[in-house]
Amino acid sequence: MRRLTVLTLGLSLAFVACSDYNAYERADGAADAWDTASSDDTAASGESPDDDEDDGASEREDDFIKLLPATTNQYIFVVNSARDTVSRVSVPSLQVLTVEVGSRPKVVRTTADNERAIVFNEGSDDLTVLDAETLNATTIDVLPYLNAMALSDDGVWAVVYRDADEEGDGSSGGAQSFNELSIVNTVTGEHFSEVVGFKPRQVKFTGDSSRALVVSDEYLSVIDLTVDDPDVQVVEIAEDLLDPPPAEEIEVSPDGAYAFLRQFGEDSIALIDLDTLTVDRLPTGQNPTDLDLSPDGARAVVVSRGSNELYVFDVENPYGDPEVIALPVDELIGSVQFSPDNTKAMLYTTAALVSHYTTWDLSSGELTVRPLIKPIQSVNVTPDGGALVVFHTEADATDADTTSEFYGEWAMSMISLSDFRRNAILLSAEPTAYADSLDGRWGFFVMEGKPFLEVLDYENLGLTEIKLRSNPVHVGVLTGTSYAYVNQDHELGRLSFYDPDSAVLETITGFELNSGIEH
Amino acid sequence: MRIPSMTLLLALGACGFERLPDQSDHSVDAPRWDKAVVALNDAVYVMLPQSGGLARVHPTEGWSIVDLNGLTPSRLVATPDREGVIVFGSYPVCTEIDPKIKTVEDCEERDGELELVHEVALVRGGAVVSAAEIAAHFNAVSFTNDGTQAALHLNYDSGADIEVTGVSDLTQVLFMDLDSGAITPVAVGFAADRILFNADDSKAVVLSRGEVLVIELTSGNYDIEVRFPLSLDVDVQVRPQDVALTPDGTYALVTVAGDDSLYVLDLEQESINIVALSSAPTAMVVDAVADRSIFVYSGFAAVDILEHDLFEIQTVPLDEPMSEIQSLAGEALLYSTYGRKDAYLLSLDTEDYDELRLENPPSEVVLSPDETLALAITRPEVSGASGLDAWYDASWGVEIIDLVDRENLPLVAESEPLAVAFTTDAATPTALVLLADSTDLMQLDLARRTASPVELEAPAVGLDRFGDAGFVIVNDAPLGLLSFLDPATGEIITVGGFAAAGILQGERPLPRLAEEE
Amino acid sequence: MLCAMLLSSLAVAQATELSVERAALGAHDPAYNSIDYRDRLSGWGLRAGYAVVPGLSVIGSWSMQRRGASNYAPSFLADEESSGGGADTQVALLGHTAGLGVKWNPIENPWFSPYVGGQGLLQVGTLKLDDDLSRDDNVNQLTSRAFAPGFAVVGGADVGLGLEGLAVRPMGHVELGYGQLGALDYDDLGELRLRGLIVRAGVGVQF
Repeated sequence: MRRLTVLTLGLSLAFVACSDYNAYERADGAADAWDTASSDDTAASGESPDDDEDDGASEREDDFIKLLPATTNQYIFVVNSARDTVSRVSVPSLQVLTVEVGSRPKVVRTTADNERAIVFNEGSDDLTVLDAETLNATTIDVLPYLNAMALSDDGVWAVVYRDADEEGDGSSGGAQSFNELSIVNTVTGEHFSEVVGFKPRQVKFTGDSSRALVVSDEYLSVIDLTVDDPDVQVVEIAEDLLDPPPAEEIEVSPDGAYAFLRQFGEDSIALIDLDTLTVDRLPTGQNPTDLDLSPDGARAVVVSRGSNELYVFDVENPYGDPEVIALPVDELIGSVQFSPDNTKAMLYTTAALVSHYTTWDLSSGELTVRPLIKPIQSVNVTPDGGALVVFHTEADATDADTTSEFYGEWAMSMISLSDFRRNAILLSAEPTAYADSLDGRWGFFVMEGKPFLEVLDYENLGLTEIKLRSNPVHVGVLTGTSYAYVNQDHELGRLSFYDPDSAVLETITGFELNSGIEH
Repeated sequence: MRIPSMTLLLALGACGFERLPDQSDHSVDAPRWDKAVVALNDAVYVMLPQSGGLARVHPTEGWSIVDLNGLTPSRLVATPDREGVIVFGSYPVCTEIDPKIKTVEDCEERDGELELVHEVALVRGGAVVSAAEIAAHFNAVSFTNDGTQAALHLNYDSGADIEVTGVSDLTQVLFMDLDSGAITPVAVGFAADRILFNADDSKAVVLSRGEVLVIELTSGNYDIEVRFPLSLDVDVQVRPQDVALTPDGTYALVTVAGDDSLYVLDLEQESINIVALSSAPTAMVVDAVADRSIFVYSGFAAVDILEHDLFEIQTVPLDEPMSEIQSLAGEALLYSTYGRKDAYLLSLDTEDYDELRLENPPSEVVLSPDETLALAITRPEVSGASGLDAWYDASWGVEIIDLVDRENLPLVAESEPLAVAFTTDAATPTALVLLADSTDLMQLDLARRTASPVELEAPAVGLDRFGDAGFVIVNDAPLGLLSFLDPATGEIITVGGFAAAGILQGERPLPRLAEEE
Repeated sequence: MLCAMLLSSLAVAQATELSVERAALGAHDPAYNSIDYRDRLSGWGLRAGYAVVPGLSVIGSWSMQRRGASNYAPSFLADEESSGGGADTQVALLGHTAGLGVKWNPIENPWFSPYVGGQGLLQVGTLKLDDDLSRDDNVNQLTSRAFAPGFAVVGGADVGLGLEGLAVRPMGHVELGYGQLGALDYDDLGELRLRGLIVRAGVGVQF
């Protein structure tokens, strides 16, 4: 194993790079970094719930703060971008093994069967497929100048593409394409290059992983993954091909029959029949800002912020008339998030400084506006639907109480979704990462520049602060467990593991040194 | 005229030592003998730098010169079983090849140059058992636990100049089989200066600049099993300071000079973890009974206790910073040689401690063999006290620390205690205290807390154990003097004059000429 | 038998000499530096001779040497500064040299009579070391004795005042030559090899 002589870069830099691009659901093409700039901008523009005109600012999808980890049920894979290695940390033994991968690894994803870890190496333009157990590595070349990777749910197919919204290195060669992407069968090692629409924004897979959908502004490329040589079919999704509206969000029905596409500035959504590849427009109200499928996949819900309405489509029969639900008059609502138990949904906005949210009882249809202590930065429903976690903006609504302890401060709220008890917590810095345990009992988040792991107990809405040795960069939860891990700022790598049941924190430091161990 | 009686004439010359003729002066460059004697179970070995010899001194057999085949010893290290001594030395060879060159003077006259060939020899029972040529810079030895192997390396902390002949490879360690004398060089990285072995001597852990190596010892190939880096940045120099193995041999704990990082090297899973200590440690001890490691800091008033399962640290605050640790099998005695007067008896299980206050700051603490007592050599200090306290503060002393009853008894010494040694007779616990510039050796009855003098032939400068229960005292005498004390009977046998060996130094023959021919 | 021959020759020559002489033997062995900075071992002694035939005498001699030096060595205590004063060891050689040989004067002249001669030598050397002169009972008062045979060949001259009429005539002698002794072996203390120029001079009487 060769010795690495690259100067140390901040691990946070590497990990931010990796953590940003661990796969997560990105539904909007606007803000792709957790910064308050966009919401601040809208606040600065004086937008309030009382404005009649919706200026069309995009809602911030809250999934960014809730990053999915690159974990299996017993391993955590950490990308060491500066050293071209990936470290695998076993839990709970904390054994660390490091393996060399390609140049500048950027993303690592694990397959759902916990068998493999797929690493995208931006510098060497290849994928490294690691056996999660043995760490045997297989390298598969991909096209150059790509910067993002999506992995199918079954872990077989990886689509590597150039995300238009991602800052890239730029071409250092003579020619560069913005339409090409790589499709890799991670099991057989086969690579296929395909041409799709210009500057793809997102890649999504059908639930059975039979098709990959590549969204660009003018086209939706449907890639058939069931054949030996993946076949691409392109569907025009913009009526004006010369000036297509930016594609912001796509949802796919559970059976893979339909794709619902929301485009910025369009007062309708595109419905694509994935079998016939026909496109229809489904009417929505003004300025649809969010599109989500209910957890049972039966309903596709569009939040039309401009007309203050919900448009509910039957996924099995989307061509039918939607149910149109009028939202509370005085409320500005632009986002929807369902509870996983399919009993309720949260309606809110992150595009304006609004310190309310509305609960929607899916069975009764009842809409209830509820107060918050501050406007919303992000909203998360715990995996069991038992609690709501709201991270608030630092800025306050115009009618905020200036004498409040929360005025001008960061804050978060834990809300029980059974009785809507609330625990509002003052924060000393901006939260930067958040994760939940799968059973919905525990949540974890970290703050910028604060060496603490904040542990949320959703059962009693309590918070426990755990001291860390150094500032955290990322927090995650081991797949299927309550074991939280926190990656911290340390030149040689520092990971802490926290078991909330036993309240034990274990830390390993220097695991990057393992990349230099010679045998 | 009658020829004068021969007897009378001889009697004129056969005078005593009262009026020896003294018409001139003569100086030599090197001391006649080295006080750093090595006391083994059967004899004491003394280097004679001026004559280049090695003397073997025995209380009843007297002294004799060990035949080293021309090797001039420069350093002695006793084997762990105290049955043998490793001798580092050298002998000259002449670069000019001429059968007529027999001596050093011959070589110089014929414009030849003298080169030193360095060698290491194992001496047992007064005779060389094995010898092998080595590079000049090796000056330290580490032994396996079973004493069958030794690792020769460079220790630069001694401050001596490193001798280099030609181009020396300072990245090697030499593994020596003490039975056969066979030597195997192993490249281990720059400035390897600490080596230790795991409990079953199957592995050697070598500290060198910026990395730690594990070498397997079972196959005889001395293969490097794993190389642990302590830094991945070539611009960052990490100097290991101390290393210890956990009792089960799974982990190597490495402290770093000037840094609070403790590198925990998992020797089985071959991974590295860094544990942050409270500060840069001054001392580290692994306690096998409690299965914990203890760290103290000369600039931070706390002690860290590290367990070896999750490697969590418990920090116990103290009133004063400590700099030294003595392990007491489940407990630890903490004290400072930096001018502090506190001492602590720390329980590693409960993390409770008993605080003791010494009269004066200690410079050294020696434990009794049964670890029920400790003797602290205390030094004078500047104080603003008056009366008896002032007198005490200005004096050297010896304090008896009862580790069971948690008490300490200060005794004043007439001069600086140079060394302390305990007897192994549990029935009458006794300690010997060597005082500077004194011809008396103080014998302390630790049970009765009384002291009695043992008169010596000459002032003593060193003290060491000899044999099973005896002691050897190094006396200040230009021609060499050792006193062998049997503490049970109080008998002292002195043997001297061994430094006179080679006092008549004629032309120096070149050794090993027959071998070269 | 030899004595008879000597006595009979007395009746013919009646030249007996007895003198006190100063003798010195070369000592270039570096080992001798511990004893004396000079390259010679010298001492006072007696010489007796008896002419067995005219011009040929049997010569017997004895001399005693007492040479010594204060030896300084750096302190063996590594933490001490090197002391400038005080010898640490006294080394002395107390020697006796006995010789027996012949002298041949080819020209006998009451004023100046050259001669050549040869002797067998026996050297007894007692080496004494003491590392504490302030005490007379210290342990390190070491004595070692060694013997060494040797020889000397000399050339010299008897010098007289021409007072042949006196029964006892004053005379002197001076001689140069080469002498060599075997090694005085002091075991572990070392060896001493004395050899080199012999110079002797003496005054005495002849009768």
